[in-house]
Amino acid sequence: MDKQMISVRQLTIIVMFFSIGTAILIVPASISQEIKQDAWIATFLGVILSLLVVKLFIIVGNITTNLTLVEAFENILGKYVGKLISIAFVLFTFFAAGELLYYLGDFMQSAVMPETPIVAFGIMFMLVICYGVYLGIETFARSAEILFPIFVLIFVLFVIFISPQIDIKNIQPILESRTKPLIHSILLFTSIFSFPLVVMLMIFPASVNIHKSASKGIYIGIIAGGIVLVSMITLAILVLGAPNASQMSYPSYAMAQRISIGNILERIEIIMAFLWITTIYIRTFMYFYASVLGLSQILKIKDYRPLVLPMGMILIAISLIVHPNIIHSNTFNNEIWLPYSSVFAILLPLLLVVVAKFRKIKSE
Amino acid sequence: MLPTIGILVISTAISLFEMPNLLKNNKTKELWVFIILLLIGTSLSIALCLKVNLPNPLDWITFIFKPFSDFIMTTLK
Amino acid sequence: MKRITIIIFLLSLTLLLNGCWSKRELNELAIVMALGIDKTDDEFEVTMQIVNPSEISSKQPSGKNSPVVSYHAKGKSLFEALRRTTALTPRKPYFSHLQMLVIGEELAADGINQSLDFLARDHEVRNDFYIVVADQSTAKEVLNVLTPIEKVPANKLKNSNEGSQKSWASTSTIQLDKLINNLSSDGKSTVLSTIEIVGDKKLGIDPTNVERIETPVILVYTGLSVFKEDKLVGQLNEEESQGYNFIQDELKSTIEIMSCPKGGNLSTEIIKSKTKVKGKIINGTPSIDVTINVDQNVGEVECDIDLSKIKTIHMINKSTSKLIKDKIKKSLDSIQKKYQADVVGFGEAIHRADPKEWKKIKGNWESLFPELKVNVKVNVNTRGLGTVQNSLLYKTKE
Repeated sequence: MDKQMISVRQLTIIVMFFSIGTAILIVPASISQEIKQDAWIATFLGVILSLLVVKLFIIVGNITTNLTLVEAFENILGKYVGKLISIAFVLFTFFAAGELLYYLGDFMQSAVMPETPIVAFGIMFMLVICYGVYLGIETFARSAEILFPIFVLIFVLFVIFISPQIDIKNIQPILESRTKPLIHSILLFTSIFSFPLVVMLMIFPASVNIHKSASKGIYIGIIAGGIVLVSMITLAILVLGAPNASQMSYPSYAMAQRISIGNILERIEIIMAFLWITTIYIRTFMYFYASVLGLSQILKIKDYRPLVLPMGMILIAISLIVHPNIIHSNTFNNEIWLPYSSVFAILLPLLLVVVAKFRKIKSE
Repeated sequence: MLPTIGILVISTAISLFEMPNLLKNNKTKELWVFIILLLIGTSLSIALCLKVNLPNPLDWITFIFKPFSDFIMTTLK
Repeated sequence: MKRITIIIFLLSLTLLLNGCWSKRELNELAIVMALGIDKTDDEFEVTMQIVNPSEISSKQPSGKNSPVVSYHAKGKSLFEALRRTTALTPRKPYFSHLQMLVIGEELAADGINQSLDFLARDHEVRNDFYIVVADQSTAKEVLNVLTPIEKVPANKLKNSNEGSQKSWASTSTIQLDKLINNLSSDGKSTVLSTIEIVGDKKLGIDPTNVERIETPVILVYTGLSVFKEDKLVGQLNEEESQGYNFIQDELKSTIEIMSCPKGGNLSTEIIKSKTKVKGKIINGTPSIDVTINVDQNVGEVECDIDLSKIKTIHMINKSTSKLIKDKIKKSLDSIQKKYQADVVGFGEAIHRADPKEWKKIKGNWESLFPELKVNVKVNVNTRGLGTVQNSLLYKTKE
């Protein structure tokens, strides 16, 4: 398959969608449970912390020009260690994709269509994603570009429509929570928001033209994603109130249900669902693409396309194994995801940077 | 029974889709990887249909990382 | 060849468009407009008011059948009772268009928490219906009264709840979200509007009820019911309910009648009211400052008074301010002393003002609330006089 390139603008859009991911649905609930109405503060600080995380990724990207992350593992860390770590990374992204597939199916089933089995949603979604991966990252980037203005329009409308129901009292008193739960929430948010961006390193240096402004593009993307999430969480607290927001399974969807303008514009929540179906689609695609591409690079296969369909099949099966129910998924995300993802998002990149510098010093 | 047959049908469809290309171009390595992955996918899906209790890899991950998670919980509560 | 397969594939996809797994056709739905929950012998009894579509249609109502049908069932839990109704209803009930929830008096006295979880959790039940409590009757009886003009009684209940809150302020519209927030906050009390049946309950169900000029049996909103924790403890009368709405900043319009200095009455119509509630704790003693700014118009003059003088307007302002203050005092007396239930959210106000101090006194709130000092300040501004200046009918005798 020919080398596919994406533009910086496409990269920015993908980063924005990717970072929003499932956070747009999960984050209000999991974070407000601990720190209640200060959840927006945790989100805001988490976005700022994420800028540092992204800086780390960009440093790695600068070292590994023209290599994807998997290739970089082998290049910098040596053949055997590199291959082992690459396998772990591919498994990481693959399982993450499976988790997302389950999550989307669960949302559709519990909020919209209760009798439909989750598999059905998984299969439908996977068909689209497999087709997308087959066509390559360029086509995918173009599809993200098309989705972007629609997303922005619906998001802005959403914010406008729900604002009349804001009760400023819901966010008071400000800064009532203690420091420790606040720090925990900030870390939790960052792990869902920006740690997964390590997956972007599979496409970052290798497939992007105009290298220099690409870094700026990534920063813009993550700030844009951050704006969306901070607004979502702040609105969730202002409109629903902290007790409700923390206990609801899907607070953003509940908010969309509350929209009622002049008794005419009502019951439009499924249009709002377009927002997170889009972001979950982008995130699942990236995870899956990373794992397919990564596997093909580990096995030194030039064209990853034959692998797509069988891996897609495995993924659907994985999505049903990985979380037997939503409680398992919530517990996993609240407790295990933070240390688990930090290994791949913080430890490994740091390792790469250190070893690369070390090798450079050695060879000079 | 019926879902199992359906899965087998899909597997054969997938292989018919990809295999000719691989065989024609003599890509043996790809062919082998393809077959192995397809077998894994098919067997997992059939096992799920037959309600076999499959081990959950996330549980193993949970097992590995639980100490760290507990550490975080105790220091930051 | 490839093109043809793609086209066939795409066309075959359209076969999927006409339905989905979870489809429910319109003629399979029984649209529930109002839900009533009662407690009888330790079991939940559920009443569903379902629309009879052919009677509501504008084309050809036969006028013989009732526009709504009600079904009842009992169960150990609300969910069980609702599912049991499917043995009675010709179609499966559909709750997304629910307009009203009526809670029977007996159930309210027992506690409403049990009934609310199902409604919050179910995906079909939305947030946009109002919740009211029946006084001296069961929800079943309330939902069995036919109403004139509005064919579906649930709509009448909803509209008059809204209307009376907007124009008379003796009731309050409460939706599920707010109710649950109230019940789960510190202090844990709430109010619900009270609905009463005036007239012989047994006659309300008869179609002759709506065939006369003067309907013998009507549904009336008579104020607010006070809940402590989640149990009904009593009612606020009209005046006290208006005071409550003043404090909650939910008053949109109402009438104040004051007596003129030379005898007779003057009514003013309040057109705008903004309330600010601020809590503070000084030396461990909590207190609340309530500031209300009111804009009003003179609505009805029944006395001999000269409205062209500024002095008169000042007097009107002062009188109205005193009237409102008294009204609020009366309702606070009921709420604080008689019922001792923090339905006005004063606890939350103090929490918002000073969270650290609030944590210290939170445990004692139940005993602190009745003695809580509330300073009420009302600023009234009379803006207009209507379309007549001085009343010609009550002219000062020259």
